[in-house]
Amino acid sequence: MSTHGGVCCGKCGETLIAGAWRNNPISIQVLGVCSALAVTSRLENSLVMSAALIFVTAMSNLIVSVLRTSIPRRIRMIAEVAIIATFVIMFDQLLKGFYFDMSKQLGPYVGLIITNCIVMGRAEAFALQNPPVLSIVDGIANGIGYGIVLTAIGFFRELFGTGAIPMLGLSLPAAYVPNQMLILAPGAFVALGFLVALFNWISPKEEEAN
Amino acid sequence: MAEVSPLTILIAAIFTNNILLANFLGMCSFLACSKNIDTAAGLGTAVVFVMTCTTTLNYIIYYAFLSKGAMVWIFGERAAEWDLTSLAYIVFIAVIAAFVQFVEMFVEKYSPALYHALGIFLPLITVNCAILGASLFMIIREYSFWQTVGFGFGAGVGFAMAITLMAGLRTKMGYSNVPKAFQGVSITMIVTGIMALAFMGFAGMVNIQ
Amino acid sequence: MNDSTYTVFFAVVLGTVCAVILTAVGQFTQPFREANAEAEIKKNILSVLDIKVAEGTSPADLIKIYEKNVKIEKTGATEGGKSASKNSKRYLRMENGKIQTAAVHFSGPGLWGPVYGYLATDGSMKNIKGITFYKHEETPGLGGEIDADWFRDQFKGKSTRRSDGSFGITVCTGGKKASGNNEVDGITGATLTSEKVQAMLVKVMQTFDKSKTSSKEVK
Repeated sequence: MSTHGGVCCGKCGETLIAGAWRNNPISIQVLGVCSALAVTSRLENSLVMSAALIFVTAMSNLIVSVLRTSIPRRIRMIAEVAIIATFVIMFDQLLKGFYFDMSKQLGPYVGLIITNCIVMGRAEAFALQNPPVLSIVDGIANGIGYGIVLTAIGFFRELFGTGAIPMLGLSLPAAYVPNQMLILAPGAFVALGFLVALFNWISPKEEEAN
Repeated sequence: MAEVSPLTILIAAIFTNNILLANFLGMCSFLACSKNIDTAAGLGTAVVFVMTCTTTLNYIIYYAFLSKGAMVWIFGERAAEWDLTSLAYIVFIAVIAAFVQFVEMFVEKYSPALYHALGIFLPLITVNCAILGASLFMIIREYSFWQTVGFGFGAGVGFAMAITLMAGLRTKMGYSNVPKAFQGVSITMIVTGIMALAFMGFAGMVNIQ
Repeated sequence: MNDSTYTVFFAVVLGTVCAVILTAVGQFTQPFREANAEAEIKKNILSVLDIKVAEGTSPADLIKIYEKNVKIEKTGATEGGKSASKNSKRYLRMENGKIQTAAVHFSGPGLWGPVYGYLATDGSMKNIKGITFYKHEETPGLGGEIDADWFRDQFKGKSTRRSDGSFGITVCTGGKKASGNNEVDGITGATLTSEKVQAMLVKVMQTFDKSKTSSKEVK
């Protein structure tokens, strides 16, 4: 338990940067890749999905952290899943009630946040060992990190795959022939691959100690 | 969707609607376990078994207890308006977790060698998004009972196939000169993309309704 | 002992709290969710019957518009399978007591999954007035173009009968250009989807024959 720095233990800034960039959940930790591929065919979907993940990770980190000394060891994973599932379902139901079009677009992928490795991963790796406020920050940070990758891919795929992004009112000149493949499954994989390569090139991974 | 044969759905789930290459589910364990063909094959087999059984179990539970008016057979007409579908996700994942726990205990007792070979992977199947995803797709696509069995089995086989193929490719890639920035996740994604593109060639092979 | 009891106690409490929260959220959102789902179905029918609905109409208002303008008529025709009840109905838009537009639901296998839509004809079932494909899993940009305006607009005004008198329509593929009153252009690069669409439309149009002989008012 930290003793300095007030409620954040002085580590909030560091946690924020780590979660969002240095230890980015998708490009560095390689978690949560499923949804990064599935929903990024449109920018708007990517943004909503990122919002969902920030919400779920932050809230589940908070609750897991608050309960960290009370959760019995044997049912630890199931308890975490139950907590995560509750927040995910909450978000899904609210979406179905108030943003129905988006719910249709995202389909089962909102529900699949329950098994999203990022949420579970942060609960296990961080929330169980850290105080609540720091855990929320970590949750938000990882959510933002996820959001950065998703938004980048979504922007790229929608713009070059369809030629326009209605949400931003952006469109390429009519002479551009949209690259269909980017909207389809293979395009998603390739787009993510190149994006991760780009991130690695901008800030090369520290050499692994193992 | 009632007239499609379960066998058609099975074949579609392996090739044209491969749960990993077309629906993106199961990526995490795919990336972690596809470095070695034996591990991949082991995980794949486990997934086939778990997926077939859990989708079938979840089908029964969903239509017997959770869907709107499902519990009429227990409580009679007053249950016609009861709709517990909001609990579906939690129930499904509880079923999956319990089932995997049960399989783990069973394997540990009757085949310690297999248990050690699978190691950490068995419990990790619980949070494999492909397993939960298969159950969710089964609900969304409104499959009947036998269609569900075919789908669960086919999706598992499709996943196993993709992961084993990938392991083979990655073993070969160990001998290539991959640029530094592309090493690791990046090149794996690109190769998977090409594999997904190849699988798209199966489109039209199966008449899916 | 104590450890196990505590585990069970914790599990029960956590389970109960989660279930309560979810049931509460479920109850709260249920009217909105159901309205959305119902409005979604009705929106498609309204659109194929060419009843204008303003952008941003609330689900409740949309349902009201539907109830005011659409009449449902049960026909003898069935397509079999799980959605038999869906297919034995016609959706009518009346004008001065006569049927102005009639819509039927159709479905069939697409390339990647089932395709669902509504086909609207004039009262005498002779000419097509509109078509929508409200649910499908076709390739975006290729087979997915079936719900693009250009493809659907082609159907307006086309005849429901072939030159030999049988009910049906042809979706031209393989470079052939549509000609005449009973043909539409297929989608370039989506031959399979085009063929499957033709098949399911012909199938639903066959029912026009029988539905003329047995129909029962429902609403």
